[in-house]
Amino acid sequence: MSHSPSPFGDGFEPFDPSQTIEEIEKVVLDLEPKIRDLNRHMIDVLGACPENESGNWAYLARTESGEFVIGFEQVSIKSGMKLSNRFLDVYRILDDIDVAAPTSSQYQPDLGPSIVGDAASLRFVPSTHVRVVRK
Amino acid sequence: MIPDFEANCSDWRIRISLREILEVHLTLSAINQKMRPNHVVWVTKGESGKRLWIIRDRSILSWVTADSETTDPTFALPIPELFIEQLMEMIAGGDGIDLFCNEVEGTIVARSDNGSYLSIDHPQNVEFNRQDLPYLGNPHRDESTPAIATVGMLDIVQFAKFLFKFPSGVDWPPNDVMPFVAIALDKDTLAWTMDWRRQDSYRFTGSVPANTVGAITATFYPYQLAAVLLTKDRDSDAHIFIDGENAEYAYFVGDDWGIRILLDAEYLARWNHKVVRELKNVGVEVDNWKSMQIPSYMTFTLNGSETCYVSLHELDDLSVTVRLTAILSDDVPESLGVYSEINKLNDSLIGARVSLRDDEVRLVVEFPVDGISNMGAHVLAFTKALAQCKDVHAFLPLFAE
Repeated sequence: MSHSPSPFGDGFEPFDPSQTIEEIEKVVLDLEPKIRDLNRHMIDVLGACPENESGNWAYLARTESGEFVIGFEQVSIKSGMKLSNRFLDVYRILDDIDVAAPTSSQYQPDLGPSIVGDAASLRFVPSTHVRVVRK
Repeated sequence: MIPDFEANCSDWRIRISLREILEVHLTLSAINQKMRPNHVVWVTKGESGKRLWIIRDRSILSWVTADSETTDPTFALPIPELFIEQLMEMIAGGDGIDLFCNEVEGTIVARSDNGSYLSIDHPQNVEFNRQDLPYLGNPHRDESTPAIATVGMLDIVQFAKFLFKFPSGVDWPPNDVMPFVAIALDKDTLAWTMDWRRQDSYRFTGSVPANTVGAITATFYPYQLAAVLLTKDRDSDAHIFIDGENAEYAYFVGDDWGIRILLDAEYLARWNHKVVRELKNVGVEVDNWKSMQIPSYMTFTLNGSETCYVSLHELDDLSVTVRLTAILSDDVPESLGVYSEINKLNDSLIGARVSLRDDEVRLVVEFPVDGISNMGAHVLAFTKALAQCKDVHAFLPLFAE
């Protein structure tokens, strides 16, 4: 994951996992899966983040006081304008179909990954190996 | 001059076992009866660390998983289908082969355990895209309940064999669509029907026991799926997963393989492209649609009009109708005054009718799908009626009580 040094200012630093076992467990078992889900959903809606190779928008960070937070990639002005247009497209689509946020009673768990198994772990489009000819 | 196959070897390498390449080859042969020179099989690695072979053809995608090694790349390597067939020949008599690239010549190189080599030009102008991901999730997941069936592979094979049972004597025009299968998962049963009535034969229905959670029905083009299922080992179970009634795909998943099949309706496969073509022939371009599924309706505009719709509808007797629709006005509540005005309008229309549904006033031209060869006349009737009704949105609400 490519991290910008501090997208929100000096109070935020990329997460350093050299912490306690409990913290590492929390990161690995709880927070990182959430970040991956968030990135998957953001990439589905917004496309890959143009500012890094992974295409991820969000990463795990923590404040100086030790609180875990979600950081977002810094984007260039040009990319920001594209993002703005993308949000407008999304708004129009949602407005057209009058989508309301699902209530908790409507929520259905996503069983797909547990059924599909290893193949579902390929969640992001990998880069394509291209032909290189160096003469 | 003898080529040096080991020169400029990539820093990654894929060690392929005989069983693995056999699985890939059988799957590929089942999906594509003829190897296509410009098509590729993808090999990559998932987050779980498993190696994934991915084969996709129009409505079907199939994958084979295998243990990866630390030398496996995480990118997606395209391998020409033709090369897979040759690797099968090459691996005979050995335990496996190593695959790598010559990063100067731009070739993919295979090396067998007995020291033989084979190389092929690295494919160009191919890109792994989102549709090549085996599992695509379901944007409609929150709205309906998924269904899962666990079925023994012996029963899955029986299901697959039935899909291939063509009634003897069946003959159809070369461009006709072969029957789709309708499956149902419910009450610890996988049931299916193949409907050959269009080919002057009968419906065939069967079922096998299954362990089901949830209930669902779905239809899809079954022949490639059946061919792949018949290549699989028969000593374990497979899962069938459909993520709700609006799901785009059904998944058939075994221990080290899986199939994703696009859910579509047979009548749409038969008629959608013909309707689009006939509309184009009379100067009407339908808008593009995003889904991989064949849409039951499409949008278009006529002379800068509001959005119009063209849709296909299958009736109980298997007949199909085409419907051209325009929404003339919305938010018009039912009232005697409104219905009276609609009746007056209908008296003046030729080949079209206006109706009130769900507070929407709709203009509709509907005709049997066999009439698409006369699409010009239907579009003309629709256009004329649309012109006659152009003020409906302004005056009809006035008659609402």
